[in-house]
Amino acid sequence: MVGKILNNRYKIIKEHGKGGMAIVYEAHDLLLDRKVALKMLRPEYASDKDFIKKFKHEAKAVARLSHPNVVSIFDIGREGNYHYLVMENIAGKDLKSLINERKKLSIAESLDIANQICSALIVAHKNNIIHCDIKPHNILINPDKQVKVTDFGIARAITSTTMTITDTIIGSAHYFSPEQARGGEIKTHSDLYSVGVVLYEMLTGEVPFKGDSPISVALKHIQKKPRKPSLLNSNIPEEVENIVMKALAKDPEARFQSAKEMRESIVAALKNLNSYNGDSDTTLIMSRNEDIKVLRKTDIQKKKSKINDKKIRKYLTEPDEKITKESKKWPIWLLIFLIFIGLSIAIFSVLYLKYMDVPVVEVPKIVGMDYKEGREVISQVGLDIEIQNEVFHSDIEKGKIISQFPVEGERVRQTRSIIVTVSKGARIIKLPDLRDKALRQAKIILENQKINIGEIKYVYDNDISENIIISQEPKPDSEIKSDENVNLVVSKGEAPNMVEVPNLIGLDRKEASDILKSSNLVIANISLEKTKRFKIGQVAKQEYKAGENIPENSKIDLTVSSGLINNKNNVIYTRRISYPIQGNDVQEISIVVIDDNGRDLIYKKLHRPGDKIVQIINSVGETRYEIYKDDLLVFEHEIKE
Amino acid sequence: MQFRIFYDKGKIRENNEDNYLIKEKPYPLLVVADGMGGHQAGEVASKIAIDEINKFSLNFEEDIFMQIEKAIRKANKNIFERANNNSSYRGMGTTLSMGIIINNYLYIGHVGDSRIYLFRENNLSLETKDHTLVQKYVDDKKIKQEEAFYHPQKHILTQALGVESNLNIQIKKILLQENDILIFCTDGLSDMLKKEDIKKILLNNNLNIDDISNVLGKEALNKGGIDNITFIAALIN
Repeated sequence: MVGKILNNRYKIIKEHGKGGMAIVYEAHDLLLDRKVALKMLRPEYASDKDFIKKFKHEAKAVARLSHPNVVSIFDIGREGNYHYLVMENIAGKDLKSLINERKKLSIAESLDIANQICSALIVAHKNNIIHCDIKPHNILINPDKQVKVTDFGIARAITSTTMTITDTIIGSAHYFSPEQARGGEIKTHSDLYSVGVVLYEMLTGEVPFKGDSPISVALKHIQKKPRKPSLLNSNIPEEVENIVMKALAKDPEARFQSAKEMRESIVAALKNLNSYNGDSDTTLIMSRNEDIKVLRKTDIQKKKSKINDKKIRKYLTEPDEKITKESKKWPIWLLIFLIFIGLSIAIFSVLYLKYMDVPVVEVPKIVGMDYKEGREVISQVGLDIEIQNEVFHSDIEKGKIISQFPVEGERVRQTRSIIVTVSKGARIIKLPDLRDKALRQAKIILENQKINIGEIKYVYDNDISENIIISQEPKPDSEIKSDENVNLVVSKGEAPNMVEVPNLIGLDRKEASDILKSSNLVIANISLEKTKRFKIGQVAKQEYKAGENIPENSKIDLTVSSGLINNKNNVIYTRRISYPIQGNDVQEISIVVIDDNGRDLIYKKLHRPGDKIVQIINSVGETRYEIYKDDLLVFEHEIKE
Repeated sequence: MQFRIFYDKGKIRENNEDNYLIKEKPYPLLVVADGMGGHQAGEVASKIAIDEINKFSLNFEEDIFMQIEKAIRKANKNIFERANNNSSYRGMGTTLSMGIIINNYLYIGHVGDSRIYLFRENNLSLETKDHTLVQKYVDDKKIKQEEAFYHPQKHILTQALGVESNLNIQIKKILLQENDILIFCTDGLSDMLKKEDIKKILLNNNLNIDDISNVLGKEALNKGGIDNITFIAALIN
């Protein structure tokens, strides 16, 4: 690709980087004589017309944006199968590498970057463009510390073609909002959540949720509360932490309502941070509502020392009345504590006397019994029974005792209770309706309800789009036990047209490629090797056999001969053998060649009387030809030197 | 594909000379064979045919019809040789109606008077042609199709496996659709129930393969059950 000139205008200088979806090149715009970045979609996307349409649509929308924090799109182009975007060339690096290098960024720096991302989002959202894939890889920082957000809306174009973008999802799952993870509707709030994740990562060096798979990360985004950033970095001021936590709210309504609102909070925190100089613990600052507040570190040790300082309020959290209340309350607490100690001593004495005064009995076995039965057995020896736990168990019937403590055979005093766990039977789950849902979404729903997925079958379906669930077994609303599986049938999308693979063996490369083209098939790779039967340039092997039916536009690997193997430098013979089929029945004809390269079965096929076989056979050195009809030798011929 | 087998020696015969074979994998294969020849020779003939077809393994590089034809000819040869090597089996033979489903096509190979019916959208069609003298009379317009059912010579075959080396095998392919029902049967069913009777039963049982199989079998027995009755009912889905 390097050195190539696209549309007589963009000369590709070098490769910049590869993503799951595109390759980025540095290119030179020959018309305007400037450096540009050229983002080329991977060819596998070129055949997805739906994707290309959306991709272009989004790119056009972004091209209309003009903002210092948005990477400008100059041009959208296509040459042959190559679709590309021409963009502003940014010197500098992306935020991911910055975080990788420095582990975490300073608080001021993190806020500044988040601030600039929000600025970019403000204009984008105003123009109804949702980024959908805010992550450090898409945030570029030039040497002047200016942030440039790239890849606007491209993720949105991709949502319909999830099949081929697994790697993109893997990269992005850490930054997905809960609604994105769920496969729900994506709104501007989703971008703000992702900014929250990015900010979290800049401040702490870690993403809030990690997992073994994109699904497990997605689930955490939906279910888990993130660890407070201050637990990972104690220097983070509470105000900043509040911004992060608000952005990471599960409920979009609980987040900042716009990029503008988020930016305002960030700017305010930045201001407070600047007026705060690291040495003193607290600094008085003016906030917008004219209240005097203190921005301070959420350091536990220092918190203690603050309690006495009644004039200082914790910023944004508890009002100071609470602190005063706490201090007033403590004599009451002391009293309660003393009473508690007294009571404990009294109860302990009573129990001790009672306990020491009772006979010792052997614990009978009640595991496996019905609870009532077990209670009877236990009371016969004078013990009590107590249900500690009721749990679902797929093998033990409802009401039966799963375990007991103390176990059978142990000797205990009669006052003792035997603690048992009783089965609630198998957990019965009412199956959700997964039809018409995306597979990814269904996986999350099922994992959430602890239902296992059994077999996933992929089939073509002309009505249901790719990756959408067509049917499930058992059916929706049926009740299953927790250890049963659900089998899914998932659409592979529209059935492709099938074409018959032509025979290419023995043809030269050009002929083979022409024939493939006329059959709507494509050559993938050509490997060259020395062969026993084919002269240089002849096709020796084809990946799919002639006559096989395969989807249109499939790629076929070919092996082309780089010459006949001829170790002894013997004479090479090329003979045309023609053999008419006689007799009455279907018969299997085999042709065998024996030469310097050994014995070779070169032909084996069923024929009807009246057929005629014509074969052109290359051989090396002394050669013998044999023709068999249903394993019976019917013809032989030799060439001697 | 869902299928049911009905295999009954009928009310009169002492042994069952019919045989059948069903394979689901690697591709659906259905076969019925109706043997003939005294002293259990009929049983042997239909068994040899079924065994040979059971060995059939499809080669996707070859023409499917030619492979079917070859397998049937091989079965023919095996029965022929066996009959000539053992005097008690002399003259034995069998019918054979087989079908293979590949890529939604049913490939049929057929010799004799067993039958393959296709029931589609409330219509029943006979997909095989009886190799019988009576059918030849019908073809030559000597008698009418309606008369064939009651013709006294309807059991005289013009072709069967194991009788002569020169077979004329009927081969054809049919594109199947969802909810097609295929009935592979020996004359134990088709002699007792006319095409219209079979159609009626299929219409009344609304694609329920269990009911279809039970009712067809019961009706054939009720109508006399003179011969062995074997059939496979298969629902395509």
